[in-house]
Amino acid sequence: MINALAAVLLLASPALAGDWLADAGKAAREASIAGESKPEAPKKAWIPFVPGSRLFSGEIPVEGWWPMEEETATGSVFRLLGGDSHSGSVRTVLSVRFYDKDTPGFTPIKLAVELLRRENKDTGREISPVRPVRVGLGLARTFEIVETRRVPSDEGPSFEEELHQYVAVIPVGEAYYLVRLVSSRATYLEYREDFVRFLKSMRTLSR
Amino acid sequence: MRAPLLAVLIAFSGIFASAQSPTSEAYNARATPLDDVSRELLVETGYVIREDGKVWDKIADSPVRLDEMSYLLSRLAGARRLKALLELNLILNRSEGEKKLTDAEREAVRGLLRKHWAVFGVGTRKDFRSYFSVRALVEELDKIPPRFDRGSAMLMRDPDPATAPVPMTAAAPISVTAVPPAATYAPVPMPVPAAETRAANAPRQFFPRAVLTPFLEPLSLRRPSPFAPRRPAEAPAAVAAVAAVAAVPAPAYAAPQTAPYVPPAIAAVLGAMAPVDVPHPMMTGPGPAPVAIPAPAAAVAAAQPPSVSPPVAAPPPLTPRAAPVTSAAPAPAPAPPVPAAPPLARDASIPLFAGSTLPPQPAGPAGLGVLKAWTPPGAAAPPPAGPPDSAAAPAAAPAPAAPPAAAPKAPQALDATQAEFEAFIANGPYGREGQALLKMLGAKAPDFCRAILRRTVVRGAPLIVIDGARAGADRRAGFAPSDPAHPGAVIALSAGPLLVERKKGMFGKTLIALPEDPRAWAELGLAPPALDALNKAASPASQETGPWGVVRIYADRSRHGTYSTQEQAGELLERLLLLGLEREGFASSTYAARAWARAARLLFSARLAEDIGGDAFLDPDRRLELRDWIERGDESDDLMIASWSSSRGNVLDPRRGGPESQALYERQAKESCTRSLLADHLAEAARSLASRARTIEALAESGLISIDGAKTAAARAEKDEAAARAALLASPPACDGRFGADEAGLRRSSALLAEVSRAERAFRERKSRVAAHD
Repeated sequence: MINALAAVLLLASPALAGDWLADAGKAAREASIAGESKPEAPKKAWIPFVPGSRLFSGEIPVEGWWPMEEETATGSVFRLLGGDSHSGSVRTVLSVRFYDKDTPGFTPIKLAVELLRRENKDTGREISPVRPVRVGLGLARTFEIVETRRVPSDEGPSFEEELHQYVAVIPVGEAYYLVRLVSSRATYLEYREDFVRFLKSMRTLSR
Repeated sequence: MRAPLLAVLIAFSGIFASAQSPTSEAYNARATPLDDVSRELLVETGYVIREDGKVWDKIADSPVRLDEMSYLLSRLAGARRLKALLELNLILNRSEGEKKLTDAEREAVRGLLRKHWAVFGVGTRKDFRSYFSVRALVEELDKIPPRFDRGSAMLMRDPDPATAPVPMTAAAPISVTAVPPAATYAPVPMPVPAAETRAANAPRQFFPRAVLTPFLEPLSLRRPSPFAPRRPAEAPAAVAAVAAVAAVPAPAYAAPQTAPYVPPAIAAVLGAMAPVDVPHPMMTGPGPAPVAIPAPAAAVAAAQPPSVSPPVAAPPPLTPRAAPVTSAAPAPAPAPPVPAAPPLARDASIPLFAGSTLPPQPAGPAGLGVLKAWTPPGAAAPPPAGPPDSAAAPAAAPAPAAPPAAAPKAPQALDATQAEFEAFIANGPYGREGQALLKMLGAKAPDFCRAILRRTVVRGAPLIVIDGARAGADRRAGFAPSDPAHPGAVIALSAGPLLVERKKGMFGKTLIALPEDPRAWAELGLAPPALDALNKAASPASQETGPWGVVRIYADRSRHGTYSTQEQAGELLERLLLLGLEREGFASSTYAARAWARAARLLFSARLAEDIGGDAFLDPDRRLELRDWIERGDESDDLMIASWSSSRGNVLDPRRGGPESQALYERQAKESCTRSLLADHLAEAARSLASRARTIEALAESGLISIDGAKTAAARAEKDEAAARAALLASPPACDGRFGADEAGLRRSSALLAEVSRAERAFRERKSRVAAHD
């Protein structure tokens, strides 16, 4: 207990408040550099966005989140990388995937949800009940997953940390969108609002 | 009226269908030879293989098209498999039960299985293995690969001239990292690195590591070797790779090297990855408007050796990695205005890793396995004088000798054959354990990475030691500091994890995994905790066997587990591949290289798990990773990204993303080079602080270090960062406009990711087929 308190005091440094990457970017943007004009600060907190793969259209936050897109074994994945966790071992990640029958190794929605909702005693994986939420793309089935992992997995010192996932499965005919927000459990509530706003702003594009 | 219209429409649709047909080229069995099973399948179903190589379909009275042959063979094999299974079913149903088969029935089953073994998948083979003796399986049946699963990364075999001469070469896809067979692709002469046009005493522009690595690489032990600083935009990656390869002192029988050759097919893929001049959506910071860039094909061509050229001079001997960023003749001069305290400034009390106190580094393969320090501009050594536009020259390292002109040499194949690999293992610098691990890799490594694995081992000759105290911060395997007596990299494998048990909540317990290497603790600014498990003189109080292997438990509840040989082999594979990617110029994107090597390790573990019949050979963390990756690949990938993009993960820079977006980001960042450079330095300083402080916090919370020690170390980290930030903001690092990514290298990295996707997709499809079959 004493150790925990001391550790909290130890790290109550202003340098560690906020996300270090966003803060560094802001400092660089505001720095005075001879011969270079300062870039304009973003005017809006959220901007309309369409990923290159045209998975969807929607709005994403401008500051504190970085988009990333890649092609994987199961099709395109759009990700938004958010803030670092308090432990420094997990960055918040919001991902969007679209699965249809053309997707290699396509798993029907029912089976996919069952697989996602499978519990695991080893990691203390617990799943919340499904809650339907009306979003831009239709009726999303949302649930939360909490589990414990030892992170970082490759390096030490490595500590157990509780991770949290918001999962939204949005059926579109037989196909479906899978939207997931992974974060540390200690910080997940900080991202809830952004996740819901993003989810509600999503629209489908003609594919 | 309708009928004629309909007829016209049908006729047109027929025309379009034939026009849209992918190709009308007939399959030529001479150009692409068929193996015995394929021939048998075709002949027994009425196809005729003509002398001109065409496979004639007698019913359609036309030759089989090239693009439909694989589907046809797959269909025929499926039909034969079904027939065989029905016949087996008949025998088993007629019998009194599978356990009560008569000798005749058993023999009939065996006969059927033998006859059709080639078309059976993994699941069916597993079901019927009990019908055969171990000898029959090992000597005969296991040697027959599942014939029609060639698309699967698990089952593909590299073409080996000695053992598998013809058919599989045609079927297996070419790996991005593979060197093509000499018979198909003529060896290419080595390109000569561009001559240094700079004046001998002119300063070099400082390039931060951030150009090619996620952030400025800290003086960290985490990834000392694979992603040590490189020199972007100075020489094409292929040239750099040549230098790296040429520098490796050849083992006893290693032949001289040539440039890594990019097969035309891969070059086409790379060239096709055209960058798009679209502003990065999150380029709200230093990024200006997008700029026009040279055509990617040109960039690829620039990075590749010419296809036909006269013999050229052999490359100069490898100079240490630092060489190109230092002037040939350092001329001490008044320091230009540069940040005095850079992000990576360290406490001088930290041994070994302070920038100027590094042990002497041998001229190894591009500095692999060697921790390279970034010497900040104007911090340690007097920077050389230079023109105002290149004010931020780094402190000079000892000047390398000018590359000597060498006599032209005939290019030779770079690749190492399986036979060469095996001979090297037997005669190379490896003990029994190392040999066993490498043999396992030679037999079970996924095929897409085997070529580079062989080259890395045979040409690079890395040392392998089993010593967790040299693995850096890595829990299972890392790069040890180079052995002065050995020019190659040294890979240190941990014998087992160092674990500490702590209470969690009222009744729970948690295990903390700690690094053994004192350098990892020095990096945090801490002394290693006083644990019995870290004290080699201490004796364990008890011993138990569990998920962490055989665990020695000490009096203070610290413990030492054991990694299985199979797990060590997987870790070794990942390290060797990272080493190979770095040597051959495929590591421009740290993220792509790590993802590629990780996928190879996971596929290797999956294959072993299938063979052994379980994944108990992995430690609990790796087991969980493998199961997640197999069962919920998407979730596993998201968790990986979450971990790798964190301050402690430091593999993926969220601002840059994957290789393609990294190229885009850096093209935009180039427009405001100074600000971008400043942003990188500031980000690294902040990352280093966050990583160190948060680790120290967690250690203090778990009672592994004293509060006072934690406070001191955290204060020091914060002071370092504040000083670096102040210095950077007061005097931002200047650049001469060469800031930017190695675009050709990044395209190679994209190809790596595409290859990983293909291999993973093949694996998943095979898994789902086996599951459906079962």
